Amino acid sequence: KMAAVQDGSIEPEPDKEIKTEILNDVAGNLAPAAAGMLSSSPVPAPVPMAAPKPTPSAAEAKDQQTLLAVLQFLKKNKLVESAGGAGAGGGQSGDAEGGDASSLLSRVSSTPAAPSPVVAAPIPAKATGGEQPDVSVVLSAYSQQGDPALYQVYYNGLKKFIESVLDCHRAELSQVFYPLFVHMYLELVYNNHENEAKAFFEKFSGDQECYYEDDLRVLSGLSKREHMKGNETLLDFRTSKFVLRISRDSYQLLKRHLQERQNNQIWNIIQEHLYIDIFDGMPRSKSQIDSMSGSLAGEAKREANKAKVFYGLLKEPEIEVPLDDEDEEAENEEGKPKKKKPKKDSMGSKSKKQDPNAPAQNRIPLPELKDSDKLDKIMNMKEATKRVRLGPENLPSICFYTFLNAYQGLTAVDFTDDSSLIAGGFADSTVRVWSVTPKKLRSVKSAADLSLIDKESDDVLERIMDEKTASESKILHGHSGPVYGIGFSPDRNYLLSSSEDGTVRLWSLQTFTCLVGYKGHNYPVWDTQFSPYGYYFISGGHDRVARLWATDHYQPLRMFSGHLADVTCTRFHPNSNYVATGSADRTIRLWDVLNGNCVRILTGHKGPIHSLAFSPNGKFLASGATDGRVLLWDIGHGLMIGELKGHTDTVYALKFSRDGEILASGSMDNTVRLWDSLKAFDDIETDDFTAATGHIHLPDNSQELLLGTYMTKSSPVIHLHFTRRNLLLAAGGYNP
Amino acid sequence: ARSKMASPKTAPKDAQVMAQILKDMGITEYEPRVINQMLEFTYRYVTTIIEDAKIYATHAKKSTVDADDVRLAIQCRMDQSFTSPPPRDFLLEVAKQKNQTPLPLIKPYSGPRLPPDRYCLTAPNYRLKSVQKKVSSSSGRITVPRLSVGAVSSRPSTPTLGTPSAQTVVTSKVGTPVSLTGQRFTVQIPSSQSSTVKSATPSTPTVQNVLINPSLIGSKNILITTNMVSSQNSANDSNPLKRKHDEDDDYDAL
Repeated sequence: KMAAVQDGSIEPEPDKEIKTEILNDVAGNLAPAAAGMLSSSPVPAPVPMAAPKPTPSAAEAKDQQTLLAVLQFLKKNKLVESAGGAGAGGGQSGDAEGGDASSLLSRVSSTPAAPSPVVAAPIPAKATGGEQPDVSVVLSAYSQQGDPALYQVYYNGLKKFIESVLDCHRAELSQVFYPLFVHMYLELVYNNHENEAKAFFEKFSGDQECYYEDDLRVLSGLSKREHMKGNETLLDFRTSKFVLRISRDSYQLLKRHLQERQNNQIWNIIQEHLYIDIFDGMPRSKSQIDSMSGSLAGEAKREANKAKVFYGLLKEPEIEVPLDDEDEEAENEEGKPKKKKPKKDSMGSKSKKQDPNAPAQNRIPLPELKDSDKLDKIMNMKEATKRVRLGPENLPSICFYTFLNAYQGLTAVDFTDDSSLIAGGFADSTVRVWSVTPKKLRSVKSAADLSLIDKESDDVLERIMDEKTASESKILHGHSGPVYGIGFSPDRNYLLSSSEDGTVRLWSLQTFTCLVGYKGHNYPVWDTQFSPYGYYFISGGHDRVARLWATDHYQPLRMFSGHLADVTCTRFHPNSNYVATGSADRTIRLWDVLNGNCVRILTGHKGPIHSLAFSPNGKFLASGATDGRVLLWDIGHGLMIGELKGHTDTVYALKFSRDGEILASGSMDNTVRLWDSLKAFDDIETDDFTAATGHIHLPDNSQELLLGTYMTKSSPVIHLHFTRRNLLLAAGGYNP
Repeated sequence: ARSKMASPKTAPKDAQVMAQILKDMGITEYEPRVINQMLEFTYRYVTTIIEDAKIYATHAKKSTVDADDVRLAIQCRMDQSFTSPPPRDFLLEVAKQKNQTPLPLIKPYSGPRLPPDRYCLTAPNYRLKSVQKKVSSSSGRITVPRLSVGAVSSRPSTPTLGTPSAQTVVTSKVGTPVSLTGQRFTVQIPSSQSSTVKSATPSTPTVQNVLINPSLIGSKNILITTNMVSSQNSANDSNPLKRKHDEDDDYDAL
């Protein structure tokens, strides 16, 4: 019997008689078998497929549907067999058969309303893990055949159910609405039920949470399957699982309700597209849920944030001592074991204790310190002694650099660490560098002139500079699109710029020319930054990937892939071992430079993230987005620990003061706000429950933490920088 | 320019459609010229598609253009101009491969850390003509800076010490070659000298006409052809964007 059925299935043009034969043959077994097979999975048996569902369409379509169901059953059956017995070989043939079946499916089903596209879609990528969801989707779509109006009924039914549950569960279960709505809508669009999709959208889009408004607007413009093809974010959304965190009690309620016969459609969709992270404990309140949700992928699974992160700082090498002693110390540090061992003072180390949370010095290779770097460090330490101690009583003075005549063309700004140079990236594809100090910008002389100078003189470093072309600003040409990201190197030798033309360019600040163009992103690159130790730099762009480069490799060293939408902001951790990326999918991810793994996923923003700042001690991260909120995160635990409300527009700039006491934020609403970060980080409660479940209870203390609001004259603030003495510099283009 | 734009009440139907699209997508603040730009884009796109469809129809020896031709035309254009980033599974695959290789060790004391020369832009065979930064007589008018890039004449060979290869110098619209008036610049200082500075073109001196680059191989062979080079004093002011309209002819000559 199986052979007969198999023959029937491989035929490219199945005959009607054979079909009916198969039907009669298998009909008897199909119903109980289907029921038996399917009930072994959590999916309850849908309507038995044996009896072809009476549809208003022609008999031929009916037979087709039957055939489809039979083929699906076959596919399923084969796999069940192979799973039971043969192992890899059987699995192979099973998969092959499944492949045949699905290809046959796509050939057989000519009606646009066929469920086969669902099977042939990018979803096969995860088919290995989810054969059953495929079957159930096909079958459920089959059962919806010709009746997508039922989607509305099901959704409505769920809505009524959730409105009827106890208050404590309602907030949690309401999380299901948004992903369910979007997936059902996309399902309708994908299967070309345009009118039903539009009706579905109109009826239920108003119920969704306000912070999903932008997504819904994008969806409303999407009514045909072709529209979906080019939209990578949506395709990623369809193929990734939306994560929900629900307490066990609420989950039981939902499950019990949905497993009743008439609601299994929704259950199928939930099974396929949602990942429900169940925790034991009290259900969360609406405010708790609201603070964590908003991203395109739901929240973060608990195990996504469980990896150990070395957030401590690397030890500064001693440089007052002469060179040979320093080598000794470096050796000492390398000879020490990795940080996982408990610290013991008897290791014979120097007086400084090892920070168990700091990465090993040689965890990632870092460039050695050159003499010029050592001199710079000495300068840094001298300046640090003169640094102003900031606090709520002692606010920094703010100096604002306004770019005139930029006509909204100023797209990126950066300062050097010693605040001597400022660079601006513009929409006309130029990069301009200015000297902030009275000292002019000089480039190195040409080779012919250099051969004329006296190389033995003491001031040779001055002589190689060309006095004739000294100027206060230099323009760098080279990009072919607006420059969206700018970064100086810590040793003031190089400047990076990233542009809409897809390249990142390295410029020399000695000669003011372009040295390298790094090609890799083929799409606009939104941000770039040098590592705090130089040599490495990161870039993030429209292709949803952030890349780690080294200046002497023309290809990236690491690719950080995982975001569902553009990577808009990229920042190095102070110890250069981790990279934080903020994205338009409203999540922040922390990546490990050593192996490219994503070690933290932080959700909570309701808009694309445009600014990130690590605290100087490396423990905390601040992020700002288009929703105007600044969120504070504890990196070690992966929890949100603070929320600073106050800005009314996108926060484009965030910077911690040099010792981490004050957080400054600059926004499109033309203000700079200062926040008391010491106080914000003091109030953390990280008891075991919080750490285990990730529940946070944020105090609403934005007003107390706000130390000052400073308005500019209609210039949005796009960059902030604390000088070494804790003077705050801000920059923006005049925009009347 | 304002007077040319129709008031919303009497705007043509297409413009009203554009305005409605913007409203539907939630864009409330936009300059009035955006509608014109959208209309231009639409016109250009539709004409291109229909022209392509006509070509496909004639190729298939059909008398009329039908929907299939249009569909094919759209698809071909889509692959050309409206590409989208690679899909996620592909990116994950590539990322996994790339992230497996350990980070390379850093060689100590190696000077400026740059990729091999063929991947660098340290040997440009052109020079940018810079814009004169005089105070613009047409003040108030925002003009676009024009850059003329000098014609490529001689390609420098890789600037490592080696046999100086014969350089063919092709010049365009050059009068009698005149020797440079001290405006030399090099591609790279060969390692026989101690300095490791990579120098390149100074950006500020202005040149009147197209300048062909020299290339310096070894210390001797300087092959240069130039036009009249008149260096003028350029007043550099720190105002970011005083722009001046430049001539088009040099740009067109490329």
